Amino acid sequence: MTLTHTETQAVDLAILAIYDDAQIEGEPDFVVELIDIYLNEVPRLFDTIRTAIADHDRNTARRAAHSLRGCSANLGVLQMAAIAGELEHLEDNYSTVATELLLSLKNELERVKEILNAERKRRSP
Amino acid sequence: MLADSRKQTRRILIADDDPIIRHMVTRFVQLEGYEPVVVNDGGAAYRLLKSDSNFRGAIFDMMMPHLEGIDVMRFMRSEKRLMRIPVMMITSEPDLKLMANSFAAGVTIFLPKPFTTDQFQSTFRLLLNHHLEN
Repeated sequence: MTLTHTETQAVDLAILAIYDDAQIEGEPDFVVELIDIYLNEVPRLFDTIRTAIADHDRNTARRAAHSLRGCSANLGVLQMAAIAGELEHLEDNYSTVATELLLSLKNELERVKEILNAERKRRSP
Repeated sequence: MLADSRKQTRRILIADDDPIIRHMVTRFVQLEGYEPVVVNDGGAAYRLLKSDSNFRGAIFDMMMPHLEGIDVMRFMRSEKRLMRIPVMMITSEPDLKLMANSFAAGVTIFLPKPFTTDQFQSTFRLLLNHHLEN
């Protein structure tokens, strides 16, 4: 087993709830807006990472992994941020491990989508 | 004169390629009563700053495509009409050497990711206080 990330919470909803502070009365739910932007953005970053790994373009893969880590951490999507961080700092056996990490990210996204969509529904039925 | 006009403007330049951080920072700036002017990367910030210097402050992501935040800031520090605009740099790298170099290059204040509404608010107020002191 080459992957080293440890299992952590998929989504910390308490971190998301922090942004309720930024809600403006009468405006759409701010947290729902963040969830929607995140769920649109992640597949785009996955595409960039997949293409960059196939092209052996480590810099582009690293940049996209860096972006994925940043936006995931900010929204409390913790396990995704951890895996993206591992990909961002990967050095050895790059192609093989990066492909495994991308697969982990995709699996993780399914779990994250379920949680975020449930939160979305709760806030904006 | 330039400084006086800048003290009156409430425009804040925001450049970040991450749509989530962009959305958050835009809202937080609005909540502080300022007017966000938002671009998607460092290249767009550079192009805007070539013709527009009417900003109370600027908020850049450290790592952006085309032109990184630090490069845009170096350009600002080389232009008389832009050099006194305070710059907040958003970073995910807790790299002390990088931060020291960035302060030396003219960054006013750092905001590490991830950040909360309160952390942004405190950092933003320090950024603007720095502006008033200068």
